[in-house]
Amino acid sequence: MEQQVRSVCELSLDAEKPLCLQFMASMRSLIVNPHTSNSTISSTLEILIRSLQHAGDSPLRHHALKLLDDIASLRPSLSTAVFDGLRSSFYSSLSAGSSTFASEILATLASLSDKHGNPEIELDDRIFVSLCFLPSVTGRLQLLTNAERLGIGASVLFTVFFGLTKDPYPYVRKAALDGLAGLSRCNEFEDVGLIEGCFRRAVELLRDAEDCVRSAAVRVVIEWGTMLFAAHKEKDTMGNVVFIQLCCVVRDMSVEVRVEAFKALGKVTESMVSEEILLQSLSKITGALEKKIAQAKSSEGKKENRSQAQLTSRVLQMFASNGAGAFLHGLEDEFHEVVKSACCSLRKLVHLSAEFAAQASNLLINMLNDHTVAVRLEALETLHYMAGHGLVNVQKEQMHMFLGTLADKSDIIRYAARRTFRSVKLSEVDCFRSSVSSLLKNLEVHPQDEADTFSVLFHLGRNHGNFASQVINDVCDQLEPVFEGTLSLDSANTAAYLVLSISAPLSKDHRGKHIPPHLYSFAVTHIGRISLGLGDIMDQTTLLTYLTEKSISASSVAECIPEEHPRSPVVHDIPSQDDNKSNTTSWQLVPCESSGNIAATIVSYNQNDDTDILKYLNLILGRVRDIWLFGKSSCNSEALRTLSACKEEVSMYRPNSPESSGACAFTLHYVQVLAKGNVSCWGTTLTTRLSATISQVESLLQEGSMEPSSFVTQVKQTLNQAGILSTAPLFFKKLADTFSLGQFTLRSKITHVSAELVIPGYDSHHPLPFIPGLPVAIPVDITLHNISSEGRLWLSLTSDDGQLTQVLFLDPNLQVVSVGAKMKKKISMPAPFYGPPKVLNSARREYIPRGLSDNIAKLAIRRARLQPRETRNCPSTELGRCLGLLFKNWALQECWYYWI
Amino acid sequence: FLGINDPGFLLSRHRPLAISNCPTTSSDDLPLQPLAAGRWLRFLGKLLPVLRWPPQACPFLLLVEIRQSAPAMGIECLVLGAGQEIGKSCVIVTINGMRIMFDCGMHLGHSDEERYPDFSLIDGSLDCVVITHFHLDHIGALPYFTEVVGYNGPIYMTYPTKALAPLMLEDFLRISVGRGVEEKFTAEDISACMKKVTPIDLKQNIQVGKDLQIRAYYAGHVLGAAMVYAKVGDASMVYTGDYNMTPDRHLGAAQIDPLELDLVITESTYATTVRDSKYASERKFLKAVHDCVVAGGKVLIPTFALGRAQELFILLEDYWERMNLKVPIYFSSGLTKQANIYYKTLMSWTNKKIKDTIALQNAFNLKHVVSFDRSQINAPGPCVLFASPGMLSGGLSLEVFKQWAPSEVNLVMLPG
Repeated sequence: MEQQVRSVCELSLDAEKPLCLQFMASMRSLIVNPHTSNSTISSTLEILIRSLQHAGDSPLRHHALKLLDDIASLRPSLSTAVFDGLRSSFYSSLSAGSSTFASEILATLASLSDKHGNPEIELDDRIFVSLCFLPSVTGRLQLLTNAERLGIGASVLFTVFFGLTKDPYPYVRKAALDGLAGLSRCNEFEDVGLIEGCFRRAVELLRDAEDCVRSAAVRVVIEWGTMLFAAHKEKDTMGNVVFIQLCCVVRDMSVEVRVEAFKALGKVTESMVSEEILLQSLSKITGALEKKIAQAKSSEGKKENRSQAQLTSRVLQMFASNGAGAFLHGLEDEFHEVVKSACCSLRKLVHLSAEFAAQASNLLINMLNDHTVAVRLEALETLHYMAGHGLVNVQKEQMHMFLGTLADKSDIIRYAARRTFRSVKLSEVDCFRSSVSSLLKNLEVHPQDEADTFSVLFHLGRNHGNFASQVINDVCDQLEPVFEGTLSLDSANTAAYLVLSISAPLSKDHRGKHIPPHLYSFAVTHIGRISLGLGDIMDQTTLLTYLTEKSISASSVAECIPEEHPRSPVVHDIPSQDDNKSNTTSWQLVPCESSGNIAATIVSYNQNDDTDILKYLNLILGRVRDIWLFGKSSCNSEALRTLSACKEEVSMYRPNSPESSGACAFTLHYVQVLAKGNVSCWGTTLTTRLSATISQVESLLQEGSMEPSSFVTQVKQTLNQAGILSTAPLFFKKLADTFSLGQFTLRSKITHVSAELVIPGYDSHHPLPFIPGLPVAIPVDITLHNISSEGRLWLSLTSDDGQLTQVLFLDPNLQVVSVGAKMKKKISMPAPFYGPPKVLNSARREYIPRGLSDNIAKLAIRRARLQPRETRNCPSTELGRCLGLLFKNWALQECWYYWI
Repeated sequence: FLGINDPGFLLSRHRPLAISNCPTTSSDDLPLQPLAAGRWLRFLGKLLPVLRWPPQACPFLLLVEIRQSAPAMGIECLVLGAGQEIGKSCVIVTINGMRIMFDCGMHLGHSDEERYPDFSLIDGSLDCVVITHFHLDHIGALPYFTEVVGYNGPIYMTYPTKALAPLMLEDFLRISVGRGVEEKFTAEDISACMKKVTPIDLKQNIQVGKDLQIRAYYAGHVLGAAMVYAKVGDASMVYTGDYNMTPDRHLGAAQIDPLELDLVITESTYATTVRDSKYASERKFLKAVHDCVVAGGKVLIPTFALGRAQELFILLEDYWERMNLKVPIYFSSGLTKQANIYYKTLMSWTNKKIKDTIALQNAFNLKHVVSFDRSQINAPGPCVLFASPGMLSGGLSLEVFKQWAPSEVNLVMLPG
């Protein structure tokens, strides 16, 4: 096709024949095809340019122009050629008297100039003016739209634009007004009369019948009004006039105009409008304004400034009748676009007057009751902006509506409400209390909002340190582990109050100092969830160090805190470089909304620092010691709940190093054992288990050449007596009461020795088939952690009825199938199990060995005797305490997994 | 009973522009002329007005502009009701020989002859009757006018008005019978009258006869309320009826094209009343209701079955939904139930916010608002009850009031 079109092009060039529509369609397909050769496109370009000059008034000229525009767009290398060709065509059209088409060419040239950076079209002013006043409406419109790119002088442009604001065609009037608005930015007009004339014309057109013209007029009013304000002698009056004129169009019937009017109001600058006029734009009640009008009227009689007084009087009357309550109308508008525009304007104007800001915030709070999410959201966004600038002071009577947004069903609204609450200033402690109460209620109904709610509480506490201290001191009793028999340390509410107590000492007013120190100790047990909420403020390590510092006075774990940490932390809102110069800890609060997006940036845990981990675990262990005391005071269930929370805290931690892993595993197990501590069993079961435990303890102590603790000795004596006394349970009870859990402190590395046993494909629903009298091979997968090759490992399998136990020696060196990192080994092997025929009653039955049910791993491992190569520092007191606390625990032997 | 909201008519004349609230720069004051019932007023082109309306009243007053080029025939007005009084809106306007009756209401404050407009003052025939909305003070006398007086010409009203007006008229008739008051029309008259009505849509040009053209514009106020533009030759006018310039919970603000008019007749009941933010009053209302039900009290809201009831339903329904409240909201009137069905189907006449959310939920699908049974009056626990009549003059609202008022935890809200 390319060749065909090209030959036709050549023929056309020779014969100067006009193009037909079909041929132009073929040309277009070639132009848009990226594989068409440049030479063909050049020929096409040439023939199109020529067609413009010879087509007369043919309607095909428009198509030719479009094709040329396409060539310039798709082949940028040819844009200059297109530009030159069009320019020559423009002048030939002018000389041929085809001014409408010349305007079209100008529009295309302007478009090319914009798109491809072609040089400006230098059009003679005379030609421009003559083209503008030709009868073609389209031509006028195109000329006005592109006038600024035609190199015409500003004064000529002003004259043309100003004149054409009276054009009978609305789109021409609009283009002329847009042109005037554009001219206001060129700073070439200083004559007050000229500026005022333009302003008045725009004001006149605010009442045009067409929406688009009124919109454009609004833009001119603000642009030229601002110029008039700057240039006029009577600045005060003119600034108010401009503001009032804009206020008078906010109730226009057209949404477009209303939106434009509010946009323009947002451009009003400081000192342009007086405060009383500004305030009147928020209220329809014009009492104060009426007095001012009366004053203005009375001063009209005086000779001096008569014209000024008349103007003032007239403008004020106009305002009273049309502009009063302009923002009220905007905020109540049924169209969201208008509400949004009004809110945007308010955000700019609130800086002009404190009183205006206060009244605006009242209006916005009332808007929070609107039934559309979009409007409520817009109001909250504006309130958030104002609160960020300290311009929102919520009154008591408004709290109901304000707090209602915290309970809103919409996630977006709740989020935006909390965002606003972060920076809002509350005037009374009651408002603060109700805010905290609402946040806590929200937490109950929407637990998924926990992290964000904690963040808000923290900010609220920081902003109102004094109030936060008061609230915390009021609820302090409830935060105590024992409060009317209820311990709620693991509840979200408690965590929330702890967040508040954390925030109070960091308050900006430095007034939140009186927080009981032990609350910080409680807070450590919630560090995971709290640090998640405060992720945008401080990372977990910082928080932990801070809590450690604050709780140091009351906690017995003080010894584990490094001495280099200061007792009085320094709070910085923004981290500064100076902070790095000091070795002391500084609490760096990251600005929460640096980019307007307050989505919490969760700071990842710093898990590489073993010292921190030990410190953290020691705090947990200290907490556990405290809980033990509460557990003893007949609050077992509450203590268990708290222990459960501690367990969750520890299990959330994911240490990287084997040492930390061991410490975590030990702490977790320690807490788990304590949590099981209330399982009571008396009688022979207890006696048997305690005897076994004591013998194992003695064995351990013997290996470590250590003396037994007094408690172990006491237990041993009791056991000896229990065999002969019927009142043994009472002895054991007394023994339990006398026991006190000491503070267990982790100081050195711990290796966690453990093994896992899995029987593939086995579960309680699919028992292994077993024929009595024949051996069966039970496949076992064993994973060993931290067990050296020299260690001896035994696997014991016991049948379901307990009558048959077989022990198998495992040689790790022979049977290891894979060795992973961190001393991890895997063994897969068939374990032979043989049951003699006499054990069974029937000749053939399905046989389930004991331990191949749910507890198989535990049972098997329980019987595996692990021999350590060496024992490390193991203070007898600590081990004694550790074992002592386990005296109620039937799963006592699990502690053998740990070697210190 | 709608007398509270009734417009009185004031006549004023305005020079520079038409109905929109654009300012005038004239400083000349002329007194406002109230329209008096039964009095003809003639406006001729040569009587050029030069006056300015009081600032706070501009959207409400009757504005009249007479252009220099007004035809010699002019415009004549005959006010049969609502001139310097509240109730029985009825104005007959003759424009270039074409005679239109705007509204045909009854005065609920009278039970004698004064209840109906004095139709005997009409000299000659009418070309059409246009009803602006379904309130009785605008439509109450229509069955009497058509079925008893004998008017048989065209009657125009919007679709929602045609749907809801029979409910109002039948309810009114039922109440009158219950009180032993004999009305001048029957239920059959209502039915026969409504059959003669031609429903119209907004901005639909209706040609009446050869010369008269009428067009309805959105007026807010109640569902289906319209302002009416009428044009004969080159003379044109607008009759507003009741209208709202501020959107409410379910209706938008009045909207009209820029028009060059010779006469505007507008309601002016609240011409000098400045109402501040609706948000503030809503906040107070909701807080009072919320506080009461949270404290275990019962809230009685005497209201009329149509219009304000639906607005408050939406307000409370939305609040209940947002706050996740479970306290029941009751309505007592069967008329309300029927009206709710109409409201659900006439969504296109509500405001933009309601229309925008219809894809998610029809705002009139009320989840928390359920019908009330008399046996529940003394049921324990908090609740909100909408009971008619709104003026506590009898019926369920008065009965419940007597039961609930003695307890200080209960609340009676009079929304007006």
